[in-house]
Amino acid sequence: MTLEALRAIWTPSFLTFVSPIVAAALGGLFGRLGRSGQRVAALIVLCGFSAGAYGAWQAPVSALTAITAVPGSLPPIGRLQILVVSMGGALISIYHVLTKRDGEVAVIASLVVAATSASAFAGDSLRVAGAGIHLAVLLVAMLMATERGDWQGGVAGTAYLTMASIGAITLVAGFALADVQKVSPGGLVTDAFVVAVLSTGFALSIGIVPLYFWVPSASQRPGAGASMLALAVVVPASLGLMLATLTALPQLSGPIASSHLLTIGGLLTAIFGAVGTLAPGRLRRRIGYALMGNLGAVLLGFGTLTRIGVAGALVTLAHHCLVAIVLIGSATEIETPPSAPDQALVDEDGIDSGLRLGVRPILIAREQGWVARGAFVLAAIAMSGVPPFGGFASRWAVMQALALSDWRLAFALGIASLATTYALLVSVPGRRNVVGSRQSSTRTERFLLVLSVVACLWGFLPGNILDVAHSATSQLTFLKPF
Amino acid sequence: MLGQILTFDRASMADAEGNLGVNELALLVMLVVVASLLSISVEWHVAAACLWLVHMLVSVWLAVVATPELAVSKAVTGTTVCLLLIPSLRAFSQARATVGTTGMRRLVVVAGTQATDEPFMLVGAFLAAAAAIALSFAFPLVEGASNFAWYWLTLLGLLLIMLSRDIVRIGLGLLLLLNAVDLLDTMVTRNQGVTAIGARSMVAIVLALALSVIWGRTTSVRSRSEKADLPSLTVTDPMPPQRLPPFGNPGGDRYQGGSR
Repeated sequence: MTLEALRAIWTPSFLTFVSPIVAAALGGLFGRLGRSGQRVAALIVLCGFSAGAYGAWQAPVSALTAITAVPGSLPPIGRLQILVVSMGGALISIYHVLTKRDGEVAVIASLVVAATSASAFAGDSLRVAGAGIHLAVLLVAMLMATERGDWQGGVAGTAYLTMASIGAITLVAGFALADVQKVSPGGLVTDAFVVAVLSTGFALSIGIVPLYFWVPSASQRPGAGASMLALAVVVPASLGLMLATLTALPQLSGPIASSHLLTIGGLLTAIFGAVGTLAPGRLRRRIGYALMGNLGAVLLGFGTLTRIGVAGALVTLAHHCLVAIVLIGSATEIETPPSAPDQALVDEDGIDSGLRLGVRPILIAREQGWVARGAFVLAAIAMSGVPPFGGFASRWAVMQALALSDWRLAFALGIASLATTYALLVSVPGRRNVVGSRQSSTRTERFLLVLSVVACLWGFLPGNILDVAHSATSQLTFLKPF
Repeated sequence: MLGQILTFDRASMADAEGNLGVNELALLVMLVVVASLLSISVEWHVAAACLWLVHMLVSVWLAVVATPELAVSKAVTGTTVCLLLIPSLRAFSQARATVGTTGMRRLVVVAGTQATDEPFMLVGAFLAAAAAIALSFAFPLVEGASNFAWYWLTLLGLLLIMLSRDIVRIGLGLLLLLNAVDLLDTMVTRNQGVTAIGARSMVAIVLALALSVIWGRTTSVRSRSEKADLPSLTVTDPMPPQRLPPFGNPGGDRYQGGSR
């Protein structure tokens, strides 16, 4: 009887939910047992991610319009979302273990993946989906405050918690108002009003211009793990919720199409992201703006409301997740201040020479620093979408969809992407900033280099990737049929 | 005039009046008083008690206008939220006491409020109440329900978030905002599923946990840096800004200390 009951609940959907949570619990337990315990914890967490992704792949697929009729089923877009988010969580956990830093990054990453998976499974129950995203935001905010242990993490955590929470709460209010509009179509609540409320919520959650306030702080101040989770996991999940919202509330696509809201927001975000990246600032702050600009391309793809545009935007989103991890990780490796034993390697001559150059002696280049720089440069080039690298596969589809409506949009996006890449490339600290050197853990940098190579090779598999994304987007009823 | 603010679903009201005997006007007045007190409270005892009372009043409200399951869920969630927040609220109170005795003035910004904030917030609370009354008359978004309650909590929450200078009040504002949207959602969909109720409760509890962690972390970091007599902003800032050249460093690191 017990076995039968266990078999009944042991479905792929159950696996997707439960395995990351169980892995987080076990990982938290083992993580307190020293360095080797942390390795075991990371291994358990990786197994949890794998099991969750397997469950998502094996879960029954249902059309988006019939989700409530098939319990435990996943829409194709939700499956893609879970796969991307699991990939991001796994890569972040591996990176964190390789850096040998203390912290609960792997455990929190598991919980974040579980929350976003719940959001994907919620389907047209938008309130539950919004709650899943909100939970992920709260978990990441906690990690931001605690990962580094200094005051900057607290500032970033507070800003992220406040802004993203207001966004998530606004989303729930928007879903409630959408129900009001359904019940009384001629009342005070109109479609345009619901679109305005939901747009505000999504802009705050994702970091779209002009409501992008938390992005620079969240990319610069906290530890690398929290930044990666916020920008490479939670943001794609929020965009997945946006697609689910448009599917569950198809009446909103009319006002969105007529007002060009997504197109304007995407264009502004892409241009402002490029300008913000060009402005002087710390490397990770610039990366935050660059990633924000990259999301502008995703929004522009969504804004076309065509299958090819949305499919391209989805591939761009998966690529964005990978590139965000590489950029933030390599920038952290480049910028990391020396730890106490390493400071002994910085001699007085080095500091004096640094001061003469007018360079803060906080930037300690490493003997093997070229690996991290190489990973950074490759990822920056991959993000630009310049053929044949990286984002070309996805950008091509977005560009094509944009060119079909207005070629000037495609031109503006191309210019903004190139400007962003240029700004990132010139922002890499040169060797003349070196005032000391130290041994570095090259395993981390090699891992990032491999990831950046994968990001570059992304462009050589356009057909397969686009096919998966295109078949998933063909289920979205609000899109134009091309 | 207050009677006109209360335009409930009459069917559920009659039932509730018959069985529970709850006066909705009294509930509303108590909610206004308690939430106003929360917005101007300085003592952690008062803040915690007011926050718990807000949850309880909303819970009683939900028992009247919605289902008992929702009311119980709100009561349990509110109690858990307050229990999670009390240790960090007390830590902030102690930090503020330390400010008074040893002159650690920087803690003021984080750990407490200044005397001038209280009348300002009180006036703000009155303005929010007036605005909520006006909005509930002019734009009753949810027909057949009291719009004043959620308008009031929303405006007060936004007021706390936008105008406060300390993170405690920002957190309390977030909790009020969450309550307001819960109330709105419940009025729109009276009979919600267990999953939706559980998800909302989970969000409130994790929000309280996150606030508690962030408050505690900020207090400990500040206290540590002050006790060690270290300027808290110079952890990664060994060089004064005036010695930096204005241009010529494409790496952008000349602004390392200027982005705070």
